[in-house]
Amino acid sequence: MSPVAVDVWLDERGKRCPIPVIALSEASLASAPGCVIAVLSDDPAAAYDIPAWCRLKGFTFIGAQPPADDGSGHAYIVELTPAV
Amino acid sequence: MLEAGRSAGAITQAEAWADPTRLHHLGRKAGILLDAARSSVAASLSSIADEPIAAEDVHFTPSTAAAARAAVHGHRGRLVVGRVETSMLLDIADQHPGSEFIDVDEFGRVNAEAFAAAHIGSSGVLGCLQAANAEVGTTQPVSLVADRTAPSNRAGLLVDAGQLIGHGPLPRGWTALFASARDWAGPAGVAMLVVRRGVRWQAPDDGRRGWIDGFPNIPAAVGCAAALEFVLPRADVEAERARGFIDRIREAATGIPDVEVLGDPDERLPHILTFSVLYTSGEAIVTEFDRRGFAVASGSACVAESQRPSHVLAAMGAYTGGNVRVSLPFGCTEATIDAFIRELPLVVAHVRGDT
Repeated sequence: MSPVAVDVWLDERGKRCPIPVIALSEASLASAPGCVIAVLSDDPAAAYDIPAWCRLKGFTFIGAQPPADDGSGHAYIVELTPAV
Repeated sequence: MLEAGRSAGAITQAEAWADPTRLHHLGRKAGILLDAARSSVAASLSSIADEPIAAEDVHFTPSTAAAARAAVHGHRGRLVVGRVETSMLLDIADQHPGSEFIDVDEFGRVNAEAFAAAHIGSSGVLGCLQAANAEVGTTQPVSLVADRTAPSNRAGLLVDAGQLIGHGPLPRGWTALFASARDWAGPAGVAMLVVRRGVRWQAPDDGRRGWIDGFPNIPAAVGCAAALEFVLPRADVEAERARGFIDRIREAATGIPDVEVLGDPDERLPHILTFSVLYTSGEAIVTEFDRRGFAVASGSACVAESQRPSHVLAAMGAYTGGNVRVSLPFGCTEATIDAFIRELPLVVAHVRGDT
């Protein structure tokens, strides 16, 4: 995955389903189209639910990467553009 | 549990506690009752199978795990296994050398071509495929796979008939099949393995004349047979009713914003429906339904002991949070469905905090 410029960071570590997806949904409503949102989460369900949420909402799931601060979980990167 | 199974089991309890392999008269009496249960199951299953099943083909076991282990017993070749089989079967496959797992589509159905290609590759490969997925209801292409592989594969096709018997006809072309009596509202603690004649199979040594694994629970075997005799003649009518009820629940769930209904809408079990409610937790939904008098299941991580989402939902790429699995019992009434459909949007609103 090539590096992407993230516009909004959400640190949802330590929180369980459905909190990270609710945070992502709220951030998406408050952000302009084309924004890139990164959700930091250590919830095992996030690996499935964030890509599935993108599919249901028609957004682009870019991928998951280790968090920049070497902490737990992953950074799930979502772009608010129609999935191709 | 059905009354038919309960009373048949209770009557047998007093008569058949001895070991059916013994020669004394108590042992023989136990053996006769076990044989009768095997004959009954064989006759019942023959009515929904493509070819008749003989009493000697039927083996009772204490669990589906024991049945599946016995089916794979002595098989030295590889296994080809669907990705959304039960955790129990996947566990057996994980421990078997060289198992190959076949992926599923968004409905949870294995790719028949990929399954057949892996299965047909060499003569000693045993295919393991469920008739239908018990979590999301999607039926698997068992007959299609069997048509492609049967002529060249001698190891056969083991079918997990879980949730199918009592709800629809068996697929064709299987060589061995297992199911739990719980699937047709029979007693707990009994399952069965049916192995077609002529199939290469090495029965485990501890199989006691129709019971594999442990001391034969003959009351449970008789209860299993009696419940099956009760259920099968009513299965078509019951399935038709269930299909109509499930269609109504599907429509109601689809009408709620941010709900993903899962599984194949058409090629499916008639009595199961699964959907995920976004922005809610499965635990909260199950608890709220329970408070309102409905027992539903969930594949969400928060309700699993492992704290991981269901492997079935994960393999489908489905949304796993706020997951609800509805399974209709035999004899479910219109009034129950009306009440469920009335409560469903209220439950969702409640757990989303919209009220």
